[in-house]
Amino acid sequence: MISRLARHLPLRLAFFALLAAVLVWPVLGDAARLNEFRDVHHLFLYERSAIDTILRYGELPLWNPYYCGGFDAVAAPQTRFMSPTLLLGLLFGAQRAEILTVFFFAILGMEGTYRWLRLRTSEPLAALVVAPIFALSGQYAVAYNRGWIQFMGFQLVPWILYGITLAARRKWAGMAFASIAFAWLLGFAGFFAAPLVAVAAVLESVRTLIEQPRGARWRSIAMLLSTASFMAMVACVRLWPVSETLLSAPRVMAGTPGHAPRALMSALVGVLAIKDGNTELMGSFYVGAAFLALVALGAHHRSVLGGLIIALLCAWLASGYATRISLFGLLREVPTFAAIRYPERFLWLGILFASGSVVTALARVPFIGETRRWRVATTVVLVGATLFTIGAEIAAFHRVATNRTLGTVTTDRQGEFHQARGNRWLAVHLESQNIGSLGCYETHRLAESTLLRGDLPQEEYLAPDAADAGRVKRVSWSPNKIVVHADVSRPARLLVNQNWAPGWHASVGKVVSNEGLLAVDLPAGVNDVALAFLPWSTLGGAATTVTALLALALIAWRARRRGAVFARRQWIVTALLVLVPWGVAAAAYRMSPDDKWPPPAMKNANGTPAVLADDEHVDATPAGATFALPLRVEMGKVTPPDEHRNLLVEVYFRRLEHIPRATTMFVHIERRKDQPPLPKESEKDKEKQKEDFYNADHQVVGGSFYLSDAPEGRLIHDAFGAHIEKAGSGAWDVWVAFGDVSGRKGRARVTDPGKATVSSDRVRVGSFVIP
Amino acid sequence: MDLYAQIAGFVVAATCTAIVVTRAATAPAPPPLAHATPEQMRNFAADVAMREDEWRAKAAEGFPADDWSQRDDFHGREAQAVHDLATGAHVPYEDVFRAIDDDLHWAGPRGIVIRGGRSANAVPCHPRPIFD
Repeated sequence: MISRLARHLPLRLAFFALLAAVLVWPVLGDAARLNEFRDVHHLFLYERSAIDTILRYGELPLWNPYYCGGFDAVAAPQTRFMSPTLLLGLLFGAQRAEILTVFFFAILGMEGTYRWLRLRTSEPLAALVVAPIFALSGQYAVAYNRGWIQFMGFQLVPWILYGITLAARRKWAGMAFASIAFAWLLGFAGFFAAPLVAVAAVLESVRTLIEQPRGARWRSIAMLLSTASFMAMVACVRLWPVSETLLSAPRVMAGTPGHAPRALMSALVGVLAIKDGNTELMGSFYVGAAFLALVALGAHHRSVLGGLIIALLCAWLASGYATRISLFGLLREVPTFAAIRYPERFLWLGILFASGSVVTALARVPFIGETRRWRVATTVVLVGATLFTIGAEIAAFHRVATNRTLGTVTTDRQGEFHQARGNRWLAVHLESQNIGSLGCYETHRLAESTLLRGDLPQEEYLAPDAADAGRVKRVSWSPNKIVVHADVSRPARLLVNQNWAPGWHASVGKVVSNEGLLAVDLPAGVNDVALAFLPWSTLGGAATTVTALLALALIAWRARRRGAVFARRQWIVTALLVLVPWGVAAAAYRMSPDDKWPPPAMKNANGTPAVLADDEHVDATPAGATFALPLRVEMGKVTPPDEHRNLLVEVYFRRLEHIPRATTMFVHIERRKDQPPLPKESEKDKEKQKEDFYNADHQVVGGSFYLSDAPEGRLIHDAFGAHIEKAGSGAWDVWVAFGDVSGRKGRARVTDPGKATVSSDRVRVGSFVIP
Repeated sequence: MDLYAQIAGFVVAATCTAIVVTRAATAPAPPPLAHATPEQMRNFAADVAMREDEWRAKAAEGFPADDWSQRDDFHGREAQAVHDLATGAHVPYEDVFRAIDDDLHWAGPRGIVIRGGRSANAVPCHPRPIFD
């Protein structure tokens, strides 16, 4: 009876809405208060300024001038306003909308998981009871605690998998579900989730294909390829602009994060709690021990094998570099996955795929025995364990959600917009005053001009070499449009204290990038110059998205009238409809009137160029040592410690051929061994103990590019510092070697020492003395 | 029977949603804090300006040869100072930032003279690549 009722959507929604209401209940009273966690200050700023741009200025939130000197808001991976949840912000304000977003996404996640699980079980009640476990798991509590509201978009993953499974079963609706859910995920800042989704999508596709009858597999493959195509094309309004951003300023991630099995287990079953204002790995993917026991119980049945294998693969990925063969490391070798971090996030997918086993446990174990008493008892125990898991998840959410540090924002937007030096750690408190913060953090190297200033008397001014040509004055200002009255006696350059980006256009003169600053070359005369931001990437992307949605609608219409979309007489038209959005995208791309971003800047963290011309004079000691990898260290230079006890090391090298992405430069700063050893301080004076070794290993040159991406044959200038406050007196050497980032494969052999001093396959690049 | 159950389910879902939305929409806003006086503003600006050299030095020690990280560390220390000043005086963070901003924009006329190595330029975002 209850099982039958679970098939009805309103009843499921009632159950899910009740759970979601219980989930958010304790924090609803704080809905108007600001979460003061550091990341909130840019994430919340993005959302609130988007809403403010719509409500106050009546403009689409295309340009955000309030952070980092201004950026294309649609092209920024972490803005989340291109989602239906924007309506909540418009109705209730950005702050109050956050908890409502959590509420609605939780319901969405539960319903999506239910539908997806139901595709492989005939027992709706089991799917109904198990579905909330993923949607309420610990990482959502962590995300809410940290203000990572965009991570709620992960609740769309079951919908994407549902769509993929349907598509592989040759149902047209699968294409629609997968592509719309994926577009929503990306619109809701899901770019960091996208690589995980890609992995999940591939694994789910393979699993479902294997389940299909042999004779139907080619049509299933055609459906899956079409689905992948529509996923990209429906999301194009977001995918195109963000791709341009990330191609011009790639996100670079190094390091070898890894978790031992015990750590992963603690993430799944440990108590989620706040420590020093933040959550830790323990309990961060909380599902509890009962869930794992139920997974084991359901594993007896053949039907869950595929899901369990995928769950185990996810656990392997989640272990990062902690295993001898790192699947996560292999994944990172794929270019689009190179910047993936936090391997433990694969546990999220693991939970989802393991849920199928729990459904099987609930659906089948009661029928192992033959008596009614057995059936009733096992059902009570199993459903009880599942409900206990859900309760414990909700309790974990309450524990961390009610322990956030909450603050107050005082809003006063009466003043004229201007840039301030600002502060990214508290940027919301500047944006609330109509002030931009040049203090900036993003996960990629957001294009920011060094000419931006936070102390200008006016934000629009003439370039220094034309300062005497006349005067300019702001007439009106809004995020997307600035009107300036210019009266110049000769051609002059107007500078605007914001970043340049493709998509800025002027009514008079020509928009140019003045060392990254927004500028207009004006003709002589008196003019009202209107600068407006309307990027082609968003327009072209929107046209593609609309076309893709129309094509999907046509496919749906044809499927309803004529059956399978890849049937013998249908496939040509279907294939054409799949390709049409690509045609629109290609045409739009070719027609783009906007300038392009320059290629990514290859710079060191101290601003010096990282790629030099071969004939450039370099003041450094020649080395000419060749490594087996193959790399050649041409020169080296060590600048002795400054007043802060900071050492500057400069290594000049060439990558001679392909090297693995995991290649790392090992840097040893070592006190010479042929000197008297440093005196040992007593336990009491341990703090004063002098050091004889420092390490400055790195995989990325200047935080800009991997060693493996260094242009082949070009002279690379790798400048980096080391703080050697406790360095003992005496002579020191700086040694450089190369090898795998894991450190497990030893150092690459020095095949030709050239003029360098070599020791244990390390090349000396300089020396210094500490008096 | 199923129809009634469905209607009941819809009512429960709608009621839950209505209660959650109403409660979020009517949650009390935090009481507004009193604004800082002009004298407090001057003191905030002077306090921050005086400590900037020390913050810069510490940032340089923490992040040698890394311009953005040094600036970010500097801002981390500044944020702590803003927090301390604002909570100590029971005024909004916004007032302390206004004081710093005004000082950087119009240092001379407002009487804050400690300029030293202060800088209001932008240091482009260059996040460190290590997140283990």
